[in-house]
Amino acid sequence: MLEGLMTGLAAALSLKAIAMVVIGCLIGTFIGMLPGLGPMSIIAIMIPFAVSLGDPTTSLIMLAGVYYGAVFGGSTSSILINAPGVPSTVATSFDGYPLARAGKAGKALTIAAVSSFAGGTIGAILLTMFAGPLAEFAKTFWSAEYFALMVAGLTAIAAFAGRGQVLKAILMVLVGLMLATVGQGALFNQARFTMGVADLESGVGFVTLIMALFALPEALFLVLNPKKGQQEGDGQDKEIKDLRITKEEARKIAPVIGRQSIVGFLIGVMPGAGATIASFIGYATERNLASPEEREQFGKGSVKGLSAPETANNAASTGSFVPMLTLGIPGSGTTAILLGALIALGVTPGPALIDKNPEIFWGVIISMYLGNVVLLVLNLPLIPYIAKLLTVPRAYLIPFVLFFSLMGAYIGQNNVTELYLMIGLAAVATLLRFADYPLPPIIIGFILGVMLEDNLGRSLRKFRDLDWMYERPVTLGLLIVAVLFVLVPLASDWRARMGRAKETAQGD
Amino acid sequence: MSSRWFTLDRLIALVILIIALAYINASFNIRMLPFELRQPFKPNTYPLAIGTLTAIIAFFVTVMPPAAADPTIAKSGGDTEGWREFDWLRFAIFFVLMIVYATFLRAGGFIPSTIIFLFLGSLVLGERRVWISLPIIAVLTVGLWYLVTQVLGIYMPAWPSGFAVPFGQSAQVFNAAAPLVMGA
Repeated sequence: MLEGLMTGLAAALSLKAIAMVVIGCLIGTFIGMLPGLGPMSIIAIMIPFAVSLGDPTTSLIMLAGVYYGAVFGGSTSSILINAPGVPSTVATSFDGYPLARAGKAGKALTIAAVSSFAGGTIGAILLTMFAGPLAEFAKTFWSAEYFALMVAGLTAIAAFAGRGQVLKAILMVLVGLMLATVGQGALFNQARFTMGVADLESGVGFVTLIMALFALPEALFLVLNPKKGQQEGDGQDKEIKDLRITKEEARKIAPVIGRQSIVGFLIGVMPGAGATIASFIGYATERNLASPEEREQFGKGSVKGLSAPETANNAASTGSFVPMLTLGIPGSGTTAILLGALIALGVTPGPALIDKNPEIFWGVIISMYLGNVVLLVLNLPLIPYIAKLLTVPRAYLIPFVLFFSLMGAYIGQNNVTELYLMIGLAAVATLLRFADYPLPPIIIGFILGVMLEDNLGRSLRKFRDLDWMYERPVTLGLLIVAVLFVLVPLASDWRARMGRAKETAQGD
Repeated sequence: MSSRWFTLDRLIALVILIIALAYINASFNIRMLPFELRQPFKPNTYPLAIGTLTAIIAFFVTVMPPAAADPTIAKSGGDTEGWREFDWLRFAIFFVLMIVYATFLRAGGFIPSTIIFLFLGSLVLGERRVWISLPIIAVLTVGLWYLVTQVLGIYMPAWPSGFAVPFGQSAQVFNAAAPLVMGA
C-alpha cells in the first residue's frame, strides 16, 4: 500500500495533474453554481475535454475535481439564492439561505466551505485506508462473484430509491441494461437490436445517453419553467462581507463535522445511497441530537443545520469512490459517469485496477486531498466574485448548454444519427421526469450492463449450469443480499400502498 | 376504475411493457452461427432474461395501486410542479431548433449553423438586443470551432462545402501543423 501511495503521490503531484485539479475544481465550482446544472451534466460536458487529455490519470483527476467542485458550487447557490442546483444541496438551503437572508452570507459560505473541506478530507482519509484492503479482497473474486456483486449493486439502487419508487427504479435499471445490449458487443460477432440502423452498430454512445438523460432535460426544464432557480425575493442586499466564523461557532460545528463525515462516508460507500440521502440523514440526525433550544434554530439559520448536510454530502461523494475504484461498480449516477469515462479512456475498471493502474487508483485518491485544499483556499475567497457570474443571462446560458450537449454526443460517435437519438432520448427523459421515474438508475444499468452480461456468460461457460449460484459462498451471499435489497423495501412499499388504497376506498 | 388510475407513470410502464415484448421477440430473431446454437450461453440468453424481467416488472407497475408519497424524498426536486403554466411552446421550439441544427451541422458548415442556432435560441429566450447578442455569439462560435476542431481534434467543416474562405484554408494548414506542435 505504501508503494501504491508513493505512485499516487508521484501521479497526483505532477505539474499537469495539479493544474488539472485546479482547473477541474474551478470549472466545477463555477458551473455548479449556475442553477439547474448538476454535477452529472457538468461532468458529461467535460468528458470530451478530459478524453482529449489522453492520459487516463489526469483525465480522471480532472473529472473528480469537477465533481467535488460542482458539489461545492451547488451549495453556494443554495445559500445565496435558495436555488439548489443539485438534490444533494437541498438540505444545505434549509439553514444556509436563512443565514444569508439575515446578512450572514459570508459566514454561511465559510461554514459550508469548512464543513465540505472537513467532510471531503476525512472521507479521503477513510478512502485511503479502506480502498486498498477492499481491493485486495475483491481480487479473490471470479466471474461468478462479479456477476453477483453487480446484481447486488443494481438492486441496491432499488433499496434506496424511496418509498413508492422501488419498482420504478428497478424498471429504469432494466431499461439501462436493455440499452446496453444495442450494437456490437465484445462477446458475440453480431450486432444486436440495431433495428437495421447501421449507425447503431457501435451501440448507444455513453456520452449521448448522459447528455440526453441529464444535461438536456436540465437545460430544457429552465426553458419550460422560467421561474425555476430564479433569485428569490430581494436578493440584492446580500453583499458577501464577513467570511469569518467565531470560536463559539467553530466549537459547535466540530462534533457535527466529526460525526457526519464518518456517517456520510459510510452512506456513500453503499451502492445506491449517495450524497443526497447522506445530506438528509445528516440533517435529520443532527436535528435530533441537538438540545431543544438548538433544535428551535434548525430551519431558521442554525450553523449545525448548515454544517451537517454539507459535511455529509461531501464525505458521501468521496465514499462513493470506494466501490467505483475497488470493485468497478458505480454506486451513484455520478460515479457511473466517471466509470464510463474511464472505460472510454481504455482502462478496465475492477479490482485489478489497483495492480494494473496504480497511478490511476492512488493518483485520484491523493488528488482529492489537494482538491479539497483548492476548494477551501482558492475558491472560498473567490466566491464573492464568482457569485456575480451567477447572473449569466439565461438567453445565452441555455443555448450554450444545448450546444455543448449536442457537440459532446457528436464528438463521441461522429455521426448525426447519434444527435437525433439524443434529442429523442431527451424527450423521453423529460417525460420520465414528469412521471417521477428516477433517471440515474438508467445510466448505472447502462454502464454495468456490458460487464453483467460478460460475467454471466463466463460463469455459465465455465460452470455449465446454474450451480455456481449456490455453491460459491460469496456468490450466494451476495445474491441473497440482492434479493433482500428488493424484497424488504418492496414489502414496506406494498403495505403502504395497500394502506393507502384502503384509505382512498373509504374516503371516496 | 377512476381516471386517476391511468396516470402518466402507468402509461409509461405500459409503453415499457410493449417495448420489452418487442425486445423479447427481437431476441428470438437474433441470427446465430451454428456453433453458437450449441453454447450454453447464447447471444440471446441474457437479452431474454432481462427482457422477461422488464416485462414482468413493467406489468406490475402498470397494475399496482398508487404509491403513498414519501414526504422525506423530494419528488424530482419539485421540477414538475405547476406544469400547466410551463412554457411548452418554447420547449417545442427548442426541440425543432436542435433537430434542424443537427441536420445542417455538417452540410451547412459549423460556423454558420452554430451562429444561427445560438442566435435563434437566445432570441426565443427573450434576448432582443440583436446588436449585442450577434457579435458575442459570432465571436464565441469561432472560439468553439477552434476548440472542437483544433483542441479536441474533431473533423468539422467550418463553412458549407464549395464555400472558399481564407479561414477554411488556414485551418487546413493548421491541421497539418497541429501534430508537429502537439508532438513537441
